[in-house]
Parts: sequence; structure tokens; C-alpha cells
Amino acid sequence: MSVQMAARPNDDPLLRVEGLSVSYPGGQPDQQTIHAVRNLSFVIAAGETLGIVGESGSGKTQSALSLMGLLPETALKAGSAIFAGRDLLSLDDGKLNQIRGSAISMIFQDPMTSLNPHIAIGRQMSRVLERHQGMSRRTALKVAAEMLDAVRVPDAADRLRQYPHELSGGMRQRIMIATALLCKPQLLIADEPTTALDVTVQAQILTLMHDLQHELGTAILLITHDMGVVAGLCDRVLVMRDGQMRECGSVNKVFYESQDNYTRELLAAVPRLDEVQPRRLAVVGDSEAEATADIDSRPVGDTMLTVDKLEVRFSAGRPGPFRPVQFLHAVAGVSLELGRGETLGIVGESGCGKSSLARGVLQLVDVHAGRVTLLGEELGMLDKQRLKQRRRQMQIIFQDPLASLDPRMTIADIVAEPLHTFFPTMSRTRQLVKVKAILERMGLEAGYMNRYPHEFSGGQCQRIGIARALIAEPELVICDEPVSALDVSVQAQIVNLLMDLQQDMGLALIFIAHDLAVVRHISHRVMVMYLGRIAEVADRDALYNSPRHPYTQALISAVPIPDPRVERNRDRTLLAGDVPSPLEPPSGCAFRTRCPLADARCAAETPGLRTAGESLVACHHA
Amino acid sequence: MDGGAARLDAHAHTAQNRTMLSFAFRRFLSAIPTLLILIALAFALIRVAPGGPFDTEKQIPPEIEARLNEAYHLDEPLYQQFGRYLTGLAQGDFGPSFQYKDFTVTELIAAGFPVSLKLGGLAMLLALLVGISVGTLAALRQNSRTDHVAMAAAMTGISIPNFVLAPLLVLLFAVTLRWLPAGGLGDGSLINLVLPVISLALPQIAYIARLTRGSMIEVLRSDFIRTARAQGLPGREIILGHALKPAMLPIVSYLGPATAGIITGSVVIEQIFGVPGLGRYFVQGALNRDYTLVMGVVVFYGVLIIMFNFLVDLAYRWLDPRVKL
Repeated sequence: MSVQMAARPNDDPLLRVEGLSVSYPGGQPDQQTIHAVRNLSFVIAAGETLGIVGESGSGKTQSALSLMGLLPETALKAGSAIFAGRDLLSLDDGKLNQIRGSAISMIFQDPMTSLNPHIAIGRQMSRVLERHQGMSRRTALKVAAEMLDAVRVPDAADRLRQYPHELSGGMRQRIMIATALLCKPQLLIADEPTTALDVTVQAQILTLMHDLQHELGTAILLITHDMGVVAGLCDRVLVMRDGQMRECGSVNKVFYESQDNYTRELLAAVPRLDEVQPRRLAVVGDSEAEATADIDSRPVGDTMLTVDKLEVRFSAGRPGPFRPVQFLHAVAGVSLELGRGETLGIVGESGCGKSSLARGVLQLVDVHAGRVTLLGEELGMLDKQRLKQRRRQMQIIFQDPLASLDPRMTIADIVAEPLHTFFPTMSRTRQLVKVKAILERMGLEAGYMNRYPHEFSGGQCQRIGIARALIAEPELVICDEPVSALDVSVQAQIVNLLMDLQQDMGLALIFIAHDLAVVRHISHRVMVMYLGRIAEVADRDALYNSPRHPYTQALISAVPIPDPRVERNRDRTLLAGDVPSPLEPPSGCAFRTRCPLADARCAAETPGLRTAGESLVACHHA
Repeated sequence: MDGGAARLDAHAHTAQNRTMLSFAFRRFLSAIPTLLILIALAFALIRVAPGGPFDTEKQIPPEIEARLNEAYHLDEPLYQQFGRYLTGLAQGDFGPSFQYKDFTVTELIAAGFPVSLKLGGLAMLLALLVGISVGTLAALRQNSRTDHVAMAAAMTGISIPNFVLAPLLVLLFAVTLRWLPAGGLGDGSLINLVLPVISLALPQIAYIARLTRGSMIEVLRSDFIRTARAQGLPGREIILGHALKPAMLPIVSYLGPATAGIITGSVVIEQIFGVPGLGRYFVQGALNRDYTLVMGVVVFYGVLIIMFNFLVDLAYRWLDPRVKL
């Protein structure tokens, strides 16, 4: 407590960081020192929100961790960070422990792993109060319950007895925030607090942080890669790249009058949800305008894929003598058609069944019911051998670029693998010629062929993954969150590449993503899924300009737009709560538990897809 | 809303109790075939061994041997004997001992087991206390001298079998230094158990220390420990309040094999130190082809280990609430 009371002239900032550097000396003589943060200076005033944005490796998280004394022991720190008259960088752990958790708190990216799964939530919260405010456990638990109330956690007292795994991601992040605010800190450091959450939940958390800041007057240091989040929440922004500050100023100044090339390029690389004219995404470091390959130059041909009432289910838990097998209906009757050269975007929150749908279409999981017809052949009727041959025509690109490449195979072997499978008689020389050609098409040097996946960046790995998917010249490619793990600038390159490839090869794409802006950018048509069912399907512009389903409307309104003036003047439909468990979906319309329009009919009758305006919608009220 | 939540909570509670009961029941059911296989294997193995319970250096007249065999039903076909044994077992009757003719096997087990339990229990307690402390210390000072010395000692402890270690300890502490008694239970005071307990515990201490170190290091790297540090909790509280419980998971799963290890270890150790425990009866029973005694001890320990593994699963569930029973 004494720390908070320390005399501080009113005009001094809350935190003054000067010349902050973080470096990791190489262990061996031939290893270079890594400079994670270089000479960073900034101030935070009481009650303000400063955003630090940058791509991975820019040093934004390292800066925050150094303030909290959480860097690994091998890190070297220099500079100063004056908070309440003390230099945070030079305090020992004992003195730092009086400040962290009390006057400065921190919340982290992944609420799944940042809470201790082995300890009840109440105990995790009460420890903080017992430590910093000397409360008894009883009083501490009472205060904890009040704080959970304040962060809008329903039935707060019951939550204290629960364990983290019993709660949803959004609930856990609320609990993280509540724990961080227990001692009424003057500064809250939030490291990517909403990155691991679905958009509707992200919108809830951002609104909550905004409201709490007004109630408590806490200053926030918000670390994020998402320009939209910054535009909505921050007073000032600091842009970082390669450990250095590129620019720092008020939100409006940085977004509208940026003096820095990198900042401008970064902003241009972000696909925007509200963009009417499709364009080629700008690529950072490449300011020359390239020929635009927009959607209209990619014509759609005749239908090549038909999915009819597809159902995919998984058994959940093992059956016991007194327990029937419970099924999780990941995909509960989805039908769709796809033409040659067409891109169908599929969006929805985690657990909506979009990845299961992809795997079902490709027959990678057992299809419980329904038919998938590719180029006139029903895949479910084929024997193993024929199906294997058909796989040449349908390929998939995965989310995690590095994890989806075998670490013990060279790039050449990885990319050539489909050739082994589908053209077993092809000579090695001929295979290598093809591999070389496709790598070059992907913008990768042929010299990479004998290297291993870990030597490449995420974006390069994803190009290798795409090369592998395309080398056997498939007709249908399913991209399962292909850019979610990538930085904005790399994402722009991959999206551009996919669009070019589609145009060249006439590919039909199913593009699965949770980022609605990217999907808008690349898709001809967009399908919104909720709990294994289609909520709405429509042509891209129709869906984004006049969404019919209340869920589509809420999703779109939850996506932050990287434009402060637009973002701060939007009317939001905030969805309450989380996606219900797919093990026990609500009766009738699955969305009714969160729907503002829900009535008795929605609980009784499952809405079928019907035409409304330019969309196909599954809603009684659309 | 509140009432609904309370109902939901109560519902979750009874549901939890029900899964607990059904878990216990499932385990009970699955224990039956395990035990049957164990009994059949032990029965077969001891009968395959050459010789019989009444072979002595002096030839017994054939008619007496026939009478003996008849009295103990050894003249029946094997499957009948097996069936007879199982029937007795189902009624809790381990049968009479062939060697200690005035005792039933049940009486022998009742005499030997308390001694073995004391020995094994103390060894296990010591192994856990010392092993976990040393392992945690080594994890906290990772790659320091403390760490290296502790882990080298642990490696040695694992490598030396206890039938080598025990005589060495006797030589040092009992024969040379004369600090501790060399064997027997003497007046029954604990000092007589010091050397047997240490010999039995040392390999387990070593293994548990290594396990603890590894899992503690991993836990200390996890995100929730970073959160605890960011909350300004001091190191002691982070270790005891946040890290210990998850770090204990591998140790708890090792408790099953550890118990088995201590039981088999005690067979040897009791022999070396002349402790009149169950292990000694077992060894002598095996040497004398005392069929019922050997079978009795095997079944008894089998049940014990199955029960212990059940307890371990419950402890696991307590340590990690995500585990489904």
C-alpha cells in the first residue's frame, strides 16, 4: 500500500520509461546478441490508455515483461522505468513484489493457460489480496466475489468454487481481469488480452475494459497486433518494429497523419471489414502498386462440388455400463455448392463446426450422414483405392504452418510427397523439376529445397504448405484458417498469393477463417456457421452490407475496424454470453440463447434455410 | 437466476458423486478378471516348479505320502484343485499352510503383514518426503552445483540394487561403526528398522527426486506461474501454492509402481535383515513349495496393489480437476 501512497507531483506521468533496452547475449562466442528492445522511451499518464502495436518479434511483449520483472534470467536490461519514484528495472524481486499485483497488474494473452488449472478460482484470487492487503481468506473471498460481479461474471459466488476448465475462454479472461484489478492498480498491462478469443467475446472484453477504466481510472498499457483494437480503445499509440519505436502519438495522428512509412504500410496491409472496393492488399516493404487481382477478375464456372446435408459427429467420453455414448454433432446437416474458380468463405466462432465440415468434405473424418459429390462422383460410395485417387483433386492447407510440415523431411521431400502418392511412376528428376517450379511460383528460392522446415518463417512455411497442396494440380483446395497464425503483413502476401493462384489455375477454394475482414476480401460467397448449422449464406457484398441473420449482424458489428473515427461511432450489437456447449445444443434455433429477437417459436422450431433478400437465412425473424 | 444456479450447482454435485460411485464400481468390476488372471498364473507357475510340499531329504513311505496328498487334496486333478482354491478364496479362506502345519495362511499373513506394513509404509513416507524435497530443490537451482550433485546421487541410487546396498549399509553402520543393529527386530523399537527402511527407500528416493525435478522444472515454465509472479507472490508461495500440486502428478502416477517396488524390495530386504515380515514367509513358502502360502501372499498383495492404484487415481483426480474418472 505504501507504494501507492508515495508522494508524486501531479504533473509527473504515472510511468516514465527511458532508454529501455532488452538483449539476450548469445551463449557461445559465435552466437550473436539478440536485441529484443532497443532504446525505447515513452510515458503513460494516470488514467490513459497507451497502445503498443507491432508484429511478432517487434519487442512489444518483451518491453512489458521487463517492466514487471518477468524476463528470463538470461535477459540483460538497460535504461530506466520510473513508477511512483522508483525504477522498476533496478528493484529486486522482494521490492518488486510489493508493486506487481498491487499497483501494477498484468493480464496475458491466453486465459486458458494463464490461470492455474489445478486450483479453484477463489483461491487464486484470494491469495493476491491476502498477500498485498493482509486480508483474511474469508474477507478476501468476499472481495473477490464483488470484483467478479464488477467484471460481469454471473453467479460470482459460485464461480469461486469452480476450476478454470469449467469456464469458457471469455469467462476466464474476465476472471484474469478481475484478479488483476483486485488491489485497484494504477496501471494495468494487458498483453494481447483478446487475441485468443472469438470476436463476439473480444467485443465483450474490450467494452468491459473500456467501462472499467472509466469507473476505476486505471491507466492501461495495451499490447496488441490488432489495429482495430487500438482504434477503439487507445488514447495514444506507439508503433514498434524490430525492437525500436517507429512512431508514437495520439490515435488520430497515427491513423490519419502518420509520418512513418512502416506505420502507413502496416495500416494498408490490414483488410478492412467496411471496405466497399475490393483491392489488392498492400504488402509491407513493397510500396509499388501491383496489378490488382480483385474478385471480379476471377470468374466462377459450373458447379464442381455439392455437399448435401452433411453430418459429422464425434463420440464424447467413453460409454459406461450405465452411460450411453454421447455424441457431439460437430456438423449437423450442412449443404453447399461450389463452382469452378469460386471461393466460398466460411466464418463462425470456435466450435461452430467449420473445420469439421472441411474434414468431412475431404472424407478425412467419418461422415455420419449426407453426401459429398466432387466432379460428379459421390465420395462416400468410393472404395479406398478410388478415394485415394480422388484425393489428388482435393487438397487442404492447414492453420499452423510449421506444425503441418514434417520436421524431419526436407522441403523438396515435403512438396514432392503428393507426387509420390498420385504419380508413383514419375521419375525423381521429373519430380524435382516440378517442385522447383512450384516453389518459384510461391515466391520461394529453389535453393531452399534441401533445407528443413524449422529454418523458415511462418509465412514461408505456409507457402511451402500451399506448394504441397497445389503440386498435384488439385481442383478443390480447402484452406483451414491459413492466415490466422501469421502477422498482418505476411497475411497480406499469402492472401494475395492465393487469389493469384486461383486465377491462374481456376481453383475452387473453401476459405475457412474467423477473421471476417479477410474472408470478405477473398470470397465470392460467404457462409456463416453456428453450432454445426448454417446461419446464413449470401454473396459477399450482400452478406456484409445487409446481413439478415441476427448472428451475422452481431459478428460483423463485433469486428473492430482500424479507423478510430469509424470505430468509435459505431452502434454495436453486443452478444451476451458464450457459444453453448455443442454437447447440449439449445432446442429449436441454436442461436436463440444469445439472440436479441428470440421468442417462444425459436425454442420450439428449428428454422430451415429460406430466402430473405439476397441471402439464404436460417431464422424465423429474418 | 440465483436459484437456477444453485440448482445447477447441486445437480453438478450429485452428478459428481454419481460418477465417483460409478468409477469405484467400474474399478471393482475390472479388478475381478485381473485377480483371476493373477491367481491362475501364480497357481500354474508354482505347480510347474519341480518338487512338492512334502519332499524332504528323507524318503517318506509312499503310503504316507499318498495319505498326505489325499488330506490336502493334492491327488485331485489340477482343475479341481484350482476350483477348490477359488471356492475357498471366495469365502475368504486362504487354506492351511503346508509347512507351518499348525497355522492357516490367513494367520500367517496376519502375523507377518503388520511388520511388513510398518517397514514399507515408513520406507514410502521417507521416499516421498526426501525425494520431493530434493527434487524441488534441484529444480529451483537448475544446473547449479546442488542440482548436479543431487542428480548424480539419484542416478547412483537408481543403479545400485538394494540387495547390494543393504549389506554395504550393514557393513558400514552395524559392523564397522556399531551405530545400528545389523538385523532382527530386537525389542521391537524403531531403531531396528532404520537400516531396512533406508535400504528399501533409497532407490525410491532417487527415482522420486528425478521425477520431481523434471516435472517441477516444466511446471515452473508454465504461463500460470508467470501469472503468479506478476501477482507479486513471493517464491515460497508460488512453489507451495501454485507449483507443487501440478508438479505432483507424475509422482502420484508413480506411486503405484513404487508400491509394487517396495513390496518386491521388502521380500529381499526382510530376508537380508531377518525381519519376520510377509516377504520372508513368501520366500520360504516358495522354497518349500508351500503352495497355499505362496498363493495367499500373491493374492493378498495383488488385492493390495489394485486397491492402492484405485486410491492413486482418486488422488490424481484431486490434483488435477480436469481428469475425468
